[in-house]
Amino acid sequence: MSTIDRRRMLYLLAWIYALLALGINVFWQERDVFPIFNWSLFSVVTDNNVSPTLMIHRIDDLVFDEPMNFFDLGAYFPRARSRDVKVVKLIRRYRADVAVDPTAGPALIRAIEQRFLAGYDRVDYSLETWRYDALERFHHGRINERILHYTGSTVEDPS
Amino acid sequence: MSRRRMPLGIGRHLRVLPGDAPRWHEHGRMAERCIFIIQIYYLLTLARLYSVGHQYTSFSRHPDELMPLWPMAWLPLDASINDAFSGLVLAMQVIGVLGLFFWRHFIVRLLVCVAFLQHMTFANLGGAINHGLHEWFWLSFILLFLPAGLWRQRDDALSRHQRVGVMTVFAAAGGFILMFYSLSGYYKLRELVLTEAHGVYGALHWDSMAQIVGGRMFDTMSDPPLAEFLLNYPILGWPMFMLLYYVEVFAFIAIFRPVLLKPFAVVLILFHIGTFLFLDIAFDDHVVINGLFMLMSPLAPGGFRVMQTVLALPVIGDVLRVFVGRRWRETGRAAVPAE
Repeated sequence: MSTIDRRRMLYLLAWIYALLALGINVFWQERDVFPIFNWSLFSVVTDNNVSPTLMIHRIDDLVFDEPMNFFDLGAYFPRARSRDVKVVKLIRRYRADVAVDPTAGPALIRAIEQRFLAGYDRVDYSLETWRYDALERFHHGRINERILHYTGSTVEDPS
Repeated sequence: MSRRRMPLGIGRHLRVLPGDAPRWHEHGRMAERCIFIIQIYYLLTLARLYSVGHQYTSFSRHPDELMPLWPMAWLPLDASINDAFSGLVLAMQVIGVLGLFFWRHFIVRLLVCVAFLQHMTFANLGGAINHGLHEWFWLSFILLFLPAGLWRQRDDALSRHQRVGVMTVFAAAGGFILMFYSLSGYYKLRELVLTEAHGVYGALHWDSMAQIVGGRMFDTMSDPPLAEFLLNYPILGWPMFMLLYYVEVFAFIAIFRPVLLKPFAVVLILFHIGTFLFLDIAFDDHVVINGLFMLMSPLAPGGFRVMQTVLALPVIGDVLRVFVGRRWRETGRAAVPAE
């Protein structure tokens, strides 16, 4: 391969990558075609933030009066301790996928339960989206809206 | 002395500055330095492939949670996955060692690239993709284009064709990294334009960075070291936020203006330190990559000249040069080593 050929090849590769990355964003709504990442990171700046949230209602015999945020339960769940942001991405994906195809739900629910809630006989939980102004929430604890997507349990018959 | 410019696509329009003209007499030294840095890259790749075993053991207990990606289509998704993982971990470590010692062979670089793709695949199972390893993988892919026969002679005895080939691929590696930043900058800029066009809250608002930091903080209920400070004094974040927009949007231009490589690398490394301090997101790999392929790049001119750097800045420098006129060319040419 001559120097000019090598240079052209690398230019071509860069163009292909850039076009695919941008195309993914346009045609697949910011979903990735592995291993091409679209590099859309913290692009949306808003005062109406959206946080996908995993709320825990019960762990075995421990029933919470008020549901607890998964990430506040680091003493119970290792991935809460390590602040594994994948749970946020999975809930976001659940919300988007189920809106288009309701049959996509069970696989994502299984992934969330087995990856994040394992280690107990029974965990009751809900998947929610919280909307808020980050500064308002920080200073005054104000939440604008809570949207419930799914309520479930790691046992088949929670009754 | 004539300063020939190679046909470089869009590069010929962007490569207009002093200090980035071809420095033929230095190519031997520059290529050797590129090879040294590539050697470090394969050493660090071994370090990554060496420790993969710990990350896969948790998956094997729950095959259902894998949600496989296409590069692992060959793996059995049943109880025998444990054996496959064990074999794979061993293979990755062997390939990592081969990469360290024999990366000058194309076939070994290809093996490292495939092994790292597998590593990245396993790190991104479970239905959600993190981008922490993507840069590292794409570097291994770009390095496949290194010229053949590097193993036949010592690094200081490469042919002219090989020297230029090494430098071209090294520059492309840096170019890809910068392109990733520019892609990220493109999305940010697009959202900024859209929000301004619609007259709604966006990045130009004085507390925009605090909203990003607060949003991330509440996503994972984390407590980044400087997040609370910024939420108490949100206006302090805005200049940093705008600097980030500028550097990300125009990052790719630095590959055509090597005088910008080091300053941009410093800003991008500081940005990644910032992502930890404000967002609790550590990008140690990206710090290393920016350090190796930009800050330590032999393609960047030595030393640091403020005026030359300012005049090379995208948009700002382009406008300034109109006013400074002929003087910058003389200053710039004086700064280029004699050929």
